[in-house]
Amino acid sequence: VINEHLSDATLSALLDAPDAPERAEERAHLAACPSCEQRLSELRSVVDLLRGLPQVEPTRAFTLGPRSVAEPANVVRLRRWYVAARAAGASLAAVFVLLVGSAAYLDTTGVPSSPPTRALAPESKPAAGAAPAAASPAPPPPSALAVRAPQKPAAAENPDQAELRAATTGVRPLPTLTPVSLPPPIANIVEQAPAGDPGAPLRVVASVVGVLAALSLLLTVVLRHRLGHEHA
Amino acid sequence: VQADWGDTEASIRAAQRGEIVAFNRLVVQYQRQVYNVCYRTLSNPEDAADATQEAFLGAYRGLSAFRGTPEGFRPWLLRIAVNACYDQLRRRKRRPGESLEALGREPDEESGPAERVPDPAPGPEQQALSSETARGIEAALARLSPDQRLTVVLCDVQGLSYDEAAQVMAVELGTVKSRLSRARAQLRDLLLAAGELPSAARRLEQ
Repeated sequence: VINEHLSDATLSALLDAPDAPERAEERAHLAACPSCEQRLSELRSVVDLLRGLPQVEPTRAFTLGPRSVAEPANVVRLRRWYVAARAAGASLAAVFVLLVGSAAYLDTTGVPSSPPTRALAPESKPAAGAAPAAASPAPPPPSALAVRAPQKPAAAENPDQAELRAATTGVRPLPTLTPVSLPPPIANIVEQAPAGDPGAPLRVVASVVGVLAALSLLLTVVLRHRLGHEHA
Repeated sequence: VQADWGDTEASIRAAQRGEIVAFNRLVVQYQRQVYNVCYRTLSNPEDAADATQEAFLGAYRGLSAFRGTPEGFRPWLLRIAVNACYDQLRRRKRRPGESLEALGREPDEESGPAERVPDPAPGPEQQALSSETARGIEAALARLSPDQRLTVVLCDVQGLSYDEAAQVMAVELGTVKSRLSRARAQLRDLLLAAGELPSAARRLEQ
């Protein structure tokens, strides 16, 4: 038999499952403890009173009519704009990322349009075609050549020397995008670019696309807020 | 109630296909219970009606997401109703002067709908209380925290199982039990202090 008085939690559980086998000790305590028995009967009265509360009759019926189910026209229109703005924002943002990535790539590799050293290198003549250009190591960026020019004539450097230099300095020239491998429209843009900044036109396009993407996403947020307001 | 689970299931499936007539069969089946939960939670007939309507609209729009058995429909529906009630309570908090406590302390004010009329067909355990006693209990209920009030409303007033109440409130079974025991103990204290308990208990015994 438990000597301490039973807690409210135990009494409440006993009310809901009076015959639970694991409550045998508590029941034994109750039989011997008038005070706990009294508290149990008070709690039982509370529950009986709650069960006796009358069910309230609803003031009206809540069946739905076709009109209450259909969304109002302005909400439908708002939702359509929201979906369009979200799609536009997402695709513009994707294009923006692609353009920024391409511009950064062009910046690191560089597309020298008319470095004198390059014209002397036989393997990088446009006439050589795409296959040899891709197979041979690309010439280093023009800036690197310009620094090295006083010490050694650039024309003298052959692919083996470039390999050797890469091995000793740890700087391997990145493969270059040659005009041959670019689709004509992009190649045209790139050829018009200043020699030192091949990514510039892409960056211009990217910033326009970026602004449009930001505007679309802003519009999406505003429309979403308005939609939430309509539903509330 | 157990016998018509088949009907309930058929109505749910048809309503999920968009048949509003089938959904309205579910509305008719559950509106009284949904309204009562809302009324006992909000203590105000207009707010309870708004929350009930909101709950059924929300249920209609979200019905395609319901994947349970027909037994699971009532807790699912009541969960939506309870959320609608909590939205109402939050809105009410922004409008001062209409607090639950005020409603609880002035029970004489004509506050109810055509309710105080007892259940036309009371169950064996459902004895009609005098309206005076009922008001005393409502005043005590109004002074509980919303969570505790909801727990006693679901378990003791509406007779849901612990398990169903746990689904409605999205809490563990143990949480239901502890909230229920604390709410009952607090109601006991409130009713004892108001002098309702001994007299009411005697009245029930007679």
